[in-house]
Amino acid sequence: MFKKVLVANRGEIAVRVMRTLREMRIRTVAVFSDPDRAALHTLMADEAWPLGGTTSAESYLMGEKIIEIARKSGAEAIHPGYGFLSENAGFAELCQKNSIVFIGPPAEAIRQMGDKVTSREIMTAAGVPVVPGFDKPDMTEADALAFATEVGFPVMIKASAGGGGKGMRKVDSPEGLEKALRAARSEALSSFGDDHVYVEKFVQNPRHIEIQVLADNHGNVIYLGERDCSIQRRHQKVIEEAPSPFVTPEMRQKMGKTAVQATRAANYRNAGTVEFLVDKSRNFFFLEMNTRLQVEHPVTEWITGLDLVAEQVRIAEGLPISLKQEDVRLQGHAVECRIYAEDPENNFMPSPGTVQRLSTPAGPGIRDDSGIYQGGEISVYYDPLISKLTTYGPDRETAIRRMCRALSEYIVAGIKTNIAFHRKVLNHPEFADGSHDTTFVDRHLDELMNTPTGDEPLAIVAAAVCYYLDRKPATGTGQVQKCSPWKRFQRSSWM
Amino acid sequence: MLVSVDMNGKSVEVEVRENREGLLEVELDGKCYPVSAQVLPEGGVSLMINNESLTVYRTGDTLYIGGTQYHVHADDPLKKELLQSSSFKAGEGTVTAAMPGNVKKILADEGMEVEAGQGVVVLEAMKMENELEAPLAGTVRKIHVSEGQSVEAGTLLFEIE
Repeated sequence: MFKKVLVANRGEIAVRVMRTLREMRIRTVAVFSDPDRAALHTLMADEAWPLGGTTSAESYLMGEKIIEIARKSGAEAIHPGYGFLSENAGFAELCQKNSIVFIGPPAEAIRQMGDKVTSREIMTAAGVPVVPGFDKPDMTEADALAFATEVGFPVMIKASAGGGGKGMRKVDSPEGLEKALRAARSEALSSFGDDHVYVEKFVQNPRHIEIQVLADNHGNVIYLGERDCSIQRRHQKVIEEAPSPFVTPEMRQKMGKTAVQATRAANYRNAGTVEFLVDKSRNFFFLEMNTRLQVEHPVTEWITGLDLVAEQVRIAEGLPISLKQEDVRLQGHAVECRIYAEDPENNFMPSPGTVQRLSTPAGPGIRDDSGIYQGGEISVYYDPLISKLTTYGPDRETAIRRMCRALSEYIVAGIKTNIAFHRKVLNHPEFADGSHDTTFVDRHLDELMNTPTGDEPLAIVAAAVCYYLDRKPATGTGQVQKCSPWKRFQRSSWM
Repeated sequence: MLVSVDMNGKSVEVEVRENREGLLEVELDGKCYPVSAQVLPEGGVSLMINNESLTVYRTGDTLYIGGTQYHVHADDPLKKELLQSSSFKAGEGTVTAAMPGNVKKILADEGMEVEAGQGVVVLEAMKMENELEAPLAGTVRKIHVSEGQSVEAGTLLFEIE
């Protein structure tokens, strides 16, 4: 069993992984960049080793340096979190060469699933449904046009090495094809160093539904239900939930079995996610396999009662998965809101700065996986995700109401966040009845941005009172106002 | 005391008085609200407006009520009038960096005609690329930055006229 594990990440996910490691009585090793000397993950770990550098490339992406720290500190394994080196096959290989366990899939599975064309081929061969597509080296405009005419417009052009919406173009008619091909190729080249693109049929108004899988070294593969991640903005997930309000029990079983098939075809180990696009008629198509722990894994943990990081560690230690498929019970409903340091009123621009005040929600059914603390800095150099807030309830409506309550308790001052934006989405009738799809945010953005909360008059009164208090001559204690009911009953200040 | 409050581009006048018992009375749109106020540590203020309990936090002109931010500016109405009468509009076609970052790409040349909403400079910050658009249609008069340059919040990026 591992005695010491290095967490090659920062922010909320490093903190989340360390929490489980600590529960497993495993010593934690953090690595940190120069700006992260006082970050929460650095402070929280049993050991913290400097990586130097400022940008991701100079710090958390320095694979060799991280291996060296693992060796020096005596860590037997590395948990990569998500992002950074988590889906870097070269890094997984480097760990193996240095006899350090990479808590994740084998390098070959990362490599194959990381390439959209290869993964499509593997899935097609394994009988997993994929979106109809066309791919050929040096595909010409005529090739693409022939395919698009056959399946019908619109089509999507995608970068083979792509992800996160980069190198992706939707084409509505033959006229736009040439320009889109050129733009996608150039973007793919600059983002991934590879200009290989392919064409796919565009699925109209799809839902994004993904299946969590676990695979061990003993031939066991299980699925842990689905997550619905249809609330997205520019292909980035914003709100996720489990189970999906769209998935029927029969469909869940069918998707689950397909995901297990896909996992076996990829020769996969450890925790992974098989993403599907689902059309209005409930047909589902393989989108990609994410070869790491997902940001939104807590919603699955809520409804299964499992700790996915603990499962990952056990699988990496060579142990079997802690339960069999027939023992998986999905109970209740969970929702996740990703809290970003960004300004929805200013085109969702990132909003770095000092967290001047932080007050986090608590109480029944609430979990806040945060990477920040009051007085801490949100750095300009890294991802603006500051926390994942998840709530749980016996049913969807309770979980959503609980989330609204939790968001109303969540105060982050000093930087801008999307907390209010989340409340507006949750209160929207289309989200409430569960009929939304991935185009929800685009279709309703103006409406969401311009809906008043109803508290505006209170804000005006509050602003006027604060202005008055600031300018009023000090009264005795200077802080406590005369009108305080406590003061009138001769009680001293409770502060 | 008369206070002028700006929110969402609208300005209202609010009167705040203290009665003999030390309670505040706030008059807004002809309605009078009795308010009890208690200052809390770290920028918090507890308000009871008509006995409706409300905890507000503030940093500068930002108020936080129930997890939602409101941008509210309160000022002396006289001072505001003076400011407005003597103010000159900082060029509406001027775009500055809202946050520190790196100039990733410049999409227009000086002297080029641009549409309102057309991307001019791509600023990268926190892993995200943000395309800064021309606020109005016109000619790119000057681009003050170059590709690869790091900029502070408030740095003048480009001007359209």
